[in-house]
Amino acid sequence: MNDLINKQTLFDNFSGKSTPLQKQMIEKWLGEPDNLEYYYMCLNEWETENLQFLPNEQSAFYKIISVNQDYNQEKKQSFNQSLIYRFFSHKNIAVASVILMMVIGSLYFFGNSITTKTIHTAFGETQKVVLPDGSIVTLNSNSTLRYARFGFGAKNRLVHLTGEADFSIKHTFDNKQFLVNTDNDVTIAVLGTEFTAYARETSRVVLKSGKIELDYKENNVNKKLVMKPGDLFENASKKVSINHVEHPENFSSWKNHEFVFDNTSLYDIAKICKDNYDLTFVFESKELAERRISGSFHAENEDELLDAVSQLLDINYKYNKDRTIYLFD
Amino acid sequence: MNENNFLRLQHNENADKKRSELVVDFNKANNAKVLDNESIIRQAIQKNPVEGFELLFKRYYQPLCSHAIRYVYSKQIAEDLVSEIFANMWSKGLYKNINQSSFRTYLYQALRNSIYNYLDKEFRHQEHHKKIIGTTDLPIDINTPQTILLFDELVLKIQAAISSLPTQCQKVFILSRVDSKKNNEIAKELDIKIKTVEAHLTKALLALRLVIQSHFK
Repeated sequence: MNDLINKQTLFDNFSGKSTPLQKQMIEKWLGEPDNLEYYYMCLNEWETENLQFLPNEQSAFYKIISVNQDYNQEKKQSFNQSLIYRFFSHKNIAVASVILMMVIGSLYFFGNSITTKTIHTAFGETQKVVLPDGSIVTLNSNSTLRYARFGFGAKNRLVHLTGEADFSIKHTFDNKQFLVNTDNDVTIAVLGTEFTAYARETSRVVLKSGKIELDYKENNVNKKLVMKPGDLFENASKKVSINHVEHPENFSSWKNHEFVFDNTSLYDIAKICKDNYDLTFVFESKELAERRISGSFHAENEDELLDAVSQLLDINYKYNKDRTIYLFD
Repeated sequence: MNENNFLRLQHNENADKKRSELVVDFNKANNAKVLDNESIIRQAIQKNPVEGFELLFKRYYQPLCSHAIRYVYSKQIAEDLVSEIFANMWSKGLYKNINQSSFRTYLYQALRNSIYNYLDKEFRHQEHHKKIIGTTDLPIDINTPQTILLFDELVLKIQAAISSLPTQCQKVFILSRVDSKKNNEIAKELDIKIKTVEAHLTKALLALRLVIQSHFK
């Protein structure tokens, strides 16, 4: 009887090739406890020959061992805790509370810098930032971008902008909103688009493609605006204007050190120079500030820009030590 | 591993032939009692428990996982069930006390217990069960000859149930259960709607549930 049950019979059983009669025989055969060992040996051999997948045994093993080490460490910790308890039952508690207050205090002051990542560009410098979600932000000079160091994109993708930046936002498969906060109560909510945002004393948002939603305040009233490509939103000295521009990409030409002027007054160029290079323009006369230029040109730094502007308008400029520029005819 | 391989309990003809030729030899071994090839592990455990346990783990982890996945159809769950048995063995020092049987027999029996409990909980609505009987104990002894064979049959029934599903449904089921992919990932991969993925999964799980429920009745 026993001779009839062999490895082949069991293998057939595992792969579903055995007949009802064979099954009956195996069942009887298993009734003898000694045969269990042989049964499981064959099962193991069969599984080894027909592995369904290859789990990573190394990492699984370390998991088991390390869980157990945690267990040992817990034991040690509870022992340490009793030591700590005795230590603090004396006057030392006063010292401890002082240390604790210092820790809390320093966390209060520096906590922000730990949890928030801040990127700042100097005057005359532009920087490309790739966010954890793959979105690309190009910062213009003297601008700051802040976002959560941990868990960015867990709920939504929130960044804070001071200055000027060009955004190229990746659309996530689960439609997570990308939010840009500014100091001027303007919030931009998008899914995946390209736009340029400017947030200094005044705010400006230009949309290149896609759709964005804008939350802003006008006379302390919350307002909402849905922008379409080419729309230009401006909020200067509490006056909101919405216009349409033909070439929204001109607003981010600074990325390539290009300056695009379209009937732009010298006064406005002065503002750009103030923002980007911390240069203050002093005009000889009011009329001079009203002079306008059109065209685009390349300027790597402030000197190249000043040269180009002065040549175009045929005016002279004098460079002072305190970073002021005196312009005259 | 390719999912099509997974669907079949692979068996190639050549291996079968070889085996039949060797039957005579195995019979001899059978009659001369099972060869204990675990003596090296036992010696190692006595010398250095950590190293010995690692040997034991590495010898049986993969075949045990392979056995488990035939029933639970999930890499993650198969590995979890097997790891739990080893973790339990290690943390409670059980590996020192298994003298009555081989480690192999102990491990496979423990695993089949875990699989049974998992299937019971997952596919037979244990909560409902508890209310009626008032206990979570195993209603059957997993180690009687009858239940051992029933267990061998169950895997074939599950296999048959899955293979009888439409191809796309099988694909979705394997991606979701075996590879633990998310519904939206599957939808992207197969270029179908998430709703369709959900429908396929419901269908496959229902088929599985029916097999398991009827089997343990």
